[in-house]
Amino acid sequence: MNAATASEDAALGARIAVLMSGATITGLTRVFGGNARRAFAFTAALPDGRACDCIMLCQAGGSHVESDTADEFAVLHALNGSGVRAPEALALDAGGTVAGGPGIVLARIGGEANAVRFLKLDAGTGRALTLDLADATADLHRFDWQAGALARHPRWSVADPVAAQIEAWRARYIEHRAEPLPLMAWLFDWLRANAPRPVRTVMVHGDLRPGNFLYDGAAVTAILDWEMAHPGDPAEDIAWIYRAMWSPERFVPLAEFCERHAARAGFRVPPRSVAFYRIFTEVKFATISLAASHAFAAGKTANLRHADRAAKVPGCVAQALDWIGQWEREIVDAAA
Amino acid sequence: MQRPSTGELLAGLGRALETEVLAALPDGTARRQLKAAVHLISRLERIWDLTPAHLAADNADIEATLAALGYQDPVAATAAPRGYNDPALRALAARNLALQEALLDLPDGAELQALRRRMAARDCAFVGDRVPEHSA
Repeated sequence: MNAATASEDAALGARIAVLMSGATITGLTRVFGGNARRAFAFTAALPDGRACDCIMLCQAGGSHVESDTADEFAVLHALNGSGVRAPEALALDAGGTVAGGPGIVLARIGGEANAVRFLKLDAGTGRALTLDLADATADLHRFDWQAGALARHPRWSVADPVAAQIEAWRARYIEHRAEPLPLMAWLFDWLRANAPRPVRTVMVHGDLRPGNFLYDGAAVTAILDWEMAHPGDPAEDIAWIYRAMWSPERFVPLAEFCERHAARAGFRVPPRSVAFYRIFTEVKFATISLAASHAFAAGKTANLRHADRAAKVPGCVAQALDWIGQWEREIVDAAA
Repeated sequence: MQRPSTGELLAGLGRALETEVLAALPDGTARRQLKAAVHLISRLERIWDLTPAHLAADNADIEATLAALGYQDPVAATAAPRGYNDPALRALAARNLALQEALLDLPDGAELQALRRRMAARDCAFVGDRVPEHSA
């Protein structure tokens, strides 16, 4: 570390100490925080006498996922002590005074999040871990978010959460597209016309997949990245976990994952809802890809992984159309 | 004819970056960026000369479908898209934007459903992607 970086880190540590009500900060290091965030690891001696390994996540410019750090903090704060496997939320820097972008301080939890290594696990470990992921997902979906302050939060008190999600993604598609993309427009109309009523309105993580949970051996230790959490249909998370790009299908078939989820959650997610949200996830991924591509084209990020992300859209659209064909054939078969 | 062709140049560029530069870079941002660049160059090598045929086919298909359904032919796009050197190709791209726009908000029907499937399959082929079995 050169002198300038050391001095910068000392100043950063001092700002974190202020944010955490006078905690003593030691061992500050910069760690990889993903495509959209900067991350700092450190140990905090808290004013209440606890020593806590922490990580601070700060938004970097040009994120392809619109998010509000304060909303994420509110979600994690609501989950503190609930039994849902989420890191403890310790402090919020909504104004970005510490590192330039809004940030949150979380208790650091052991485990690794590497999606590639997860998908290459041996069959036995992968199976046990995927079944534990079903349990962790079910724990989240049975969490009574409506009992606390979150229910009064503007983002969580919408009348029709399913429609709100579809319209939020439609708005992002319109904002970020570089061409009309009539197939995407039609898919959003289809989603609105065919959305099933949720079996219950749960806290949906919104980006639950390999890479966004920590695991140690065959156990999920924590679900990460709560910035897209929202009220909605539990099928949305299940469908996202089983999106082909990162699906754990080779460890546990989707139907078995749903069975395990039902046994733990105490309610069953209808297969038809999962089928709908598999279509939704393709449209959502396509929209995220458009946003990433737009962020690069507009100079908001220099991340070259985003440069060509719009090329992912045709595959998503074709997959969604294919599944809609199956959906419609099932209706015809059921009526026959 | 100019050799090496654009495709040959892109292939050589990608190969040299991957074997000479990427291999020498330690883990970190620069390596991740170069890996993404090599991936993109590889895709550009596969598709660089497909644009004229892709746009011509897409335009002809949309025009024929709109005509069969009795819709008026849309006027040319008002803004020519950036990134094209060849005026004829730029015109094809502008026409494609106008035709895409015309497809927005049309009442649904079997012909448009079939058109959507053909467009999706063409787009997948154009970006070098897999086409789902039932859509091909």
